[in-house]
Amino acid sequence: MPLLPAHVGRSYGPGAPYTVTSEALGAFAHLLGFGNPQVAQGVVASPTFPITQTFSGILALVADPDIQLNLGHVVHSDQRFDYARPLMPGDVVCTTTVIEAVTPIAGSMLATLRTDVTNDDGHVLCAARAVILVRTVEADAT
Amino acid sequence: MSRRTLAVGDEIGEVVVEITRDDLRAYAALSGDHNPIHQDDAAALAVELPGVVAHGMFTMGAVSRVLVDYIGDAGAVMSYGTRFTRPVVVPPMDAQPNTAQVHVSGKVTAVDDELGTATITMSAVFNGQTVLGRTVATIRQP
Repeated sequence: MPLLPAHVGRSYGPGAPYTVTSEALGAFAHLLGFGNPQVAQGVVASPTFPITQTFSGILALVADPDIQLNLGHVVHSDQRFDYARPLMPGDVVCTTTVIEAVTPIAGSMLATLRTDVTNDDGHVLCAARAVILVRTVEADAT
Repeated sequence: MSRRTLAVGDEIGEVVVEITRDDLRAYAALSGDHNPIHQDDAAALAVELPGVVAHGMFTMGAVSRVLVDYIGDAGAVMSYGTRFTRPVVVPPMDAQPNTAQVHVSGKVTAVDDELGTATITMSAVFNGQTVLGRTVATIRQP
C-alpha cells in the first residue's frame, strides 16, 4: 500500500531513551564549523542537532510494513524546528512521530511528519516537522 | 557576554561555507542519514542528480552556524525552518577544487516588540543560485 491521506494520525515510537552528551553535541558542532563557544564546546545543542534523533521518524515511516516506501523515492523537502530550549548534556530524551498530513500532488504524496523530542519529565523540548515528497509513480522503474 | 537587540535591516555578512565529501561521510555517521545519494555518484546519477549532493540538513546546519555565531546565543533561537530547493553538488576528494562553496548571509526582516522577538531570514547560494528557500529563524530578543 502506498502512503495515503488515510495514514494521517498514524504514529511511531516512543523510541529508546537517548542521553545527550557534551561529546555528541561538540562533534556535531565541530563538523558544521561552529565558532560560538557554548555550542562548539557542547554546552548547548546547535539548532539542527535534534535531527540526529528526529530523523528516526522518517526512517520509521520508511520501515512501516503497511506502507512500504523506498527510501530512494523519498525527498526531504522542508524542515522546521520549534524549541522550548536547546538540548543540553544530561537530557534524557525520547522521540515520538506522528503523520500530520498527507496530500497528493502530481504523481507524488507530500507528507508532514512531526517528531517530538520529549525529556524524562514529559516536556517537549523540540518539535521537528519534516515535509517529505514521496514519489508514487514508478517513473524510474526502467 | 551581552547580546545586542536586533533591529530590522541588520545584516549578517557573507560567510563562505565549504563542504567536502569527507564532511558528508562524517555527517551521515552522526545524523543516521545514510542515503547513498550523499556518498556515491552512481546512486545520485540513478535519481537524475548530477553527482553526489550534500544532505540538505548539512547545509541547513551550516547556515545555523552562521546565524548562531552572529547572534551569540543558541538558546535564543525559538524556531528555525527551511525548504530544500536545489541540490548542492559536492566534487570528489581528488577533484580540484574538492569543495562545494555555499555563500551564506542573512538579514533581520522583522521585529515584534510586544513578543520580544526578531525574525532573521537567511540566504544560501551555490553556483549563483539559491539552494534553500524561506530560511527563517525566530529569535528571542535579549
